[in-house]
Order: sequence, then structure tokens, then C-alpha cells
Amino acid sequence: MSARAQPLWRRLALWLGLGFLYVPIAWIVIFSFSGSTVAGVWKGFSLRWYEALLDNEGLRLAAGRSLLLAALAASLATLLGTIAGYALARLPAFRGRAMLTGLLAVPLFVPEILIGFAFLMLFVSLESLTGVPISKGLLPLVAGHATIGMPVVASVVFARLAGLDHSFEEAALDLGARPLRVFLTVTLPLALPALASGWLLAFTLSFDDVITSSFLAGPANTTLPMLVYSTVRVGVSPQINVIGTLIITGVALIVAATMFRGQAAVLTAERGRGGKAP
Amino acid sequence: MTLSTTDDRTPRVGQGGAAAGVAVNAVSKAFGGAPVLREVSLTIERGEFVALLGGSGCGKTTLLRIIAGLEIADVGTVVIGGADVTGLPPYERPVNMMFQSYALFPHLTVADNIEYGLRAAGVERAERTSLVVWALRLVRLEGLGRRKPDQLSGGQRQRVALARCLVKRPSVLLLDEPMAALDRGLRDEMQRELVRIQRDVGTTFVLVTHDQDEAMSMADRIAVMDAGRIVQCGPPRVIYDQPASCFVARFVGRVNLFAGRVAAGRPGATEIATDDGLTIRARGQAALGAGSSCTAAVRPEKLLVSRLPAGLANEYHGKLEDLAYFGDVTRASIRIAGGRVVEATLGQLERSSGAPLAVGEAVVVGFDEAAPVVLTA
Repeated sequence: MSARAQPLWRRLALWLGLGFLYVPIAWIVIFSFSGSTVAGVWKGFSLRWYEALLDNEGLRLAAGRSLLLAALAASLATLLGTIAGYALARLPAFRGRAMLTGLLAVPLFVPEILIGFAFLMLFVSLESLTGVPISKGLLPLVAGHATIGMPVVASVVFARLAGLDHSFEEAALDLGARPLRVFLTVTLPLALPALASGWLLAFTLSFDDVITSSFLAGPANTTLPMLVYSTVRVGVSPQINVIGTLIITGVALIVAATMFRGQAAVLTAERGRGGKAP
Repeated sequence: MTLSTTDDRTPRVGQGGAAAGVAVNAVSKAFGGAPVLREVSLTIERGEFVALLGGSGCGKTTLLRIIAGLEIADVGTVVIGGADVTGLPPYERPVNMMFQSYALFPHLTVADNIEYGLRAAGVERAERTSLVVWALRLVRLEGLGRRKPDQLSGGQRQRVALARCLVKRPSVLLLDEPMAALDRGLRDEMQRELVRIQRDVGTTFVLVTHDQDEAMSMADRIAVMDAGRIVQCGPPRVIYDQPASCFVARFVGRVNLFAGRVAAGRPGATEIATDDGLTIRARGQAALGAGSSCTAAVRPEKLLVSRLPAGLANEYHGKLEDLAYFGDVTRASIRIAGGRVVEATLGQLERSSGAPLAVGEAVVVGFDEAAPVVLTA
């Protein structure tokens, strides 16, 4: 159907929808290049806030901390979530399986503020019990964020494995591979796309988390979203626009790379099909 | 290019290489309380090609999976090559199975797929490579080793699945509906190819199929299954000519069944009065007591259709109702006295001699005393 044949109102709806999603983001990107000292005012093109960001050590440290935290939390969530998803999808029916499935989803619905509080209590008690200052470092943050990410990973991995023909794994067993080898050489590679998207989701959840972090960070471990949040309350600095622009650029690159890879895979498959022997 | 039947390059490694016999002893299996196999016993000689034939849900695939170790029998034992393997997991059994879906690993190349079982067995690299080359040559896929499974046609995928199993030199190869995903022309070709490969490698083959032609043309012996039991087991010719029951007669080939009672039983000759008032004379059957119920089964190609009586032991007047032309044969439906419709197959000879029969004509349909098989089940 050509664009001309589309009724006007449909195109209008499309542009309104896209505008609703992207105008605020575009706003941030545009004003990150403004020379004005006020965040929402345009005063000629300038890179001065990018330079200022380079000099802002606190912000750089927080950004680095957030990236590290998100990577660690996503990896832990992926490890635990994969095990849970595999167990639910592949173990023969066992008592309490339905309950376990339900329990796994609970952290998705529990208010984050509760998760944060619960972890705070847990680590404080552990600390007073053992005397080890575990609540001070990155550990509570990693644990808390992994808790938020794990159910997401588990459900993504579960969905993938549940839709995967058992005969791949049966064939591997039949060819003489022991169960661990089957898991590592067949199940895991076939579930890898799910693991990757689960990891990315968990990373994102951790990277923009404010609530749980507020409970668990302590004074020395301010994350980037916490810093942005507290800065905005004092007064919006144009540097926030710059941070936003950098994050958006990073996300856009990742998405583009993922899509390009997908596209390339499709093209390869089509080439192969076109060139096959009759 | 064909491979010589005595391929001295055929490697003897992997799981021992030598073909082995299989014995299934009184195996029963139920899924969720519903019985799927009921005390099935089957002995397969080494090097034999046996087909498990039956409709869907008869338990044939479950029996195959129990031999493979992918299902565990509730009761009964499985013996392969003289060793009891009942409790062994699939990766410790000297058998390999070709799955209906082929189950080729999509993330591995053709060569890596074939190599998979060798790696698991700890075969050395150089030997693995030469075995993969051997296997690709066996199934005539030289040069396709670096393709991914999704870059192959259905027939090529089937060959890869076969090579992946055979490269392990299994004592027994299990095939689960291997032709189900192929179109007709390819199916005939692969049936011949499988028989050739089986002769070349000399492995015991167990084939599961619902296709009687496939079973008849490929197998040394057919085990016909129904409702979790093996109802008859024998060479294709015996299954066809001497079916043990009405079920087997109907399932393998086409048949006219005349249900009735024994009117007079002399040794070597039985006279049956059918429920619709016909008399059928049969010869060479075990003597049955007069009055006992039985069924006479007559294959359509044993019926002679003519305009005048031919002097056969069993002849019935009727009307030709329908002729269906199949090229090599023509199937005729004749309504005989009593209202029953019998099916007769007319070969090339009958069709070409004299004026051709026309639908609606009065005809005589007959068969001699040796044609009927008298069944009591």
C-alpha cells in the first residue's frame, strides 16, 4: 500500500505517537549542544558542557560505577536466571513446580522500595552478626539489582527453552554426550539469544535504578541515576543533557549493532538457500 | 558414483562397530496411567532390518525410544548384543537413533554435526576428520561439510542425520519415521539408498513407520503393532500372504473380508457360510470345528473377473459397479448377490484380453480354493 493511500488521520496518529516518544529525547540531545548555563535555553552551538563533563570527576566516577554495577548485576542475574529457567523448562514434573514458577515472578511485582528495604535490613543484620562490613561496598547493590534482573532473565530463558524441541538434547544424549556436555554444547548455545537479551534487560534495569540503589548504595557508592536525580533537585545543570545524550548514543549503537547482526544472519541464510543444490 | 559393497575403508571404531542383536522382553510402558506398550517381546537378529509398522498411537515410537534409552520401560528388559541395557542411559548404549525431525544441531555445521558423537566419545582429532570424510562420502554429501543445516534441502538434511548416526558405528541403528518429511520421489530414492547403506555397513536397522509400502520394500521382517502389542511378526511375504488376524490383513495391503461360520470342516478343506449367505471353499487350512466363527480374507489380485463362469471353486454373479484406473492396475468394485461389494484388481493381462469390461455389466467374480486365508481373530 502506498503512502498516499493511507488516510490522513492514520499518518497523523503515527507521527503523534512517535513525537510523544521521541520529542523529549530529541530535546535533550539538542540542548546538550547549547551554550546556555540554563538547561532548557538555547544560546548558540557549543561543546562547553561536554568539556565540563570531562572535568566533572564525580559524575565520571558515578557513571563508571553504574556501568560496572550493571554489568556485574546483569551477569549474576543471567547466571541465576538461566539455572532457574532451565530447571523449570527441563526438569521432569516435580511437586511444587507451579508454586516455584509463581515465586520466581514475585520480584517483578513486589515494589522496588520493598526489595531495597529488605536487602538493607538483611545486610545490616548480617553485618552486625558477622562483624564484616559487607554493607559498605558494591556487594549489596549487586545483590539487590541481580534480584530485580533475575526473574526477567529466568522468564526469557524459560520461554526459549520451552519452545525448543527436546529432540536436539535427546539426539546429543543418544550420540553419547553426558548430560553436562549436552547442556554446554547444545542447550546453552541454542538458548544463547535468550541469555543475551536477558542480560541486556537486566543491565538496563540496573543501570537506571534509583529506588533500590538509594537504600543500598551508602555514601561512597552513588550511582549515576542517583547523582542525576540529586543534581536535578538542586537545579538542572546542562551537563545532565550531555549525560543523557551519551547514554542515548550508546543505546542506539547497541540496538543498531543487534539489528545489523540479525539482518546479516537473515541475508546469509537467504544466500545459502539460493545457492543450494537442487 | 556408487560405493563398493565391500568397502575396506569402512572404519571399525566408535562403539565397537560390530552389529548386534536386540531382545525386548515383556516390556510394558504407561504414560500417566494410559498403557502404551503391553508386554511386548521382540527378538531382532544381528544385521537384520526390522520394521515396526502400525498406526499412530500403536506404541511403535515408544518401543524404539525404549531401545534407545530415551524412555525407561515400566517393566521388562532390553538386551543389546547379549548385554542387559535396561537401566543404562542413552549415552551408554551402543545404539544411535535418527529422529523424525532429524534434530540436526542448527548452530553447528554439517561436519561438526557429524563429528559431535565422535568428540563425545573422545576420538582423536585426526581420526575424527577422516571419519567425517568417510561418513559424508557414505551418504554422498562430499563438499557440503561446511554448510549449516538450514542451508540444506530436506533430503540432504536426512542424509546428514544418517551420517551423524552411522559415523558412530552403532551396533543398532534406530530410525523413527525417516521418510516422513520427504516428498514422494525423494522417498523412493532414499528407501533404496537406506537399504544399500544397510548392506554396506551391515548394521542392525530398526525402522518405525506407518507406511506399509516402506516396511514391505525395505525390511527383512515386519512387526505389525496395534494398541501396544505386536500382533504379527514375520517376513513381508508372510505378513501379506498369511496375515494372522483381520487387523493385519486390513493394515497391510487391500483385502476382501468375508465373516461367517464354519459350515463343514474336513481336514485340508473348510467350507464357510458367510453372514450374508455366501459359501466359501478354502483349502489347506487348519481344521476348525463346525460352527466356530471365522473370517475368510481374499486379496483383490486373487479375484478373477469375467463375463462367463471360469469353473473356479468359488464363483459369484454380480454387477460391475466401478472401475478405477491406476495405470499399472485397475481396481474393480463388484456388487454380488447378497448386496456385498468386493474389490478385484485387474492386471494388464486381464484388461487387454478381449472386449474391455464396462461399468454396469453383469460379471462373474471368482477365486480358487487356495486364495482365501481363514482367520479366527
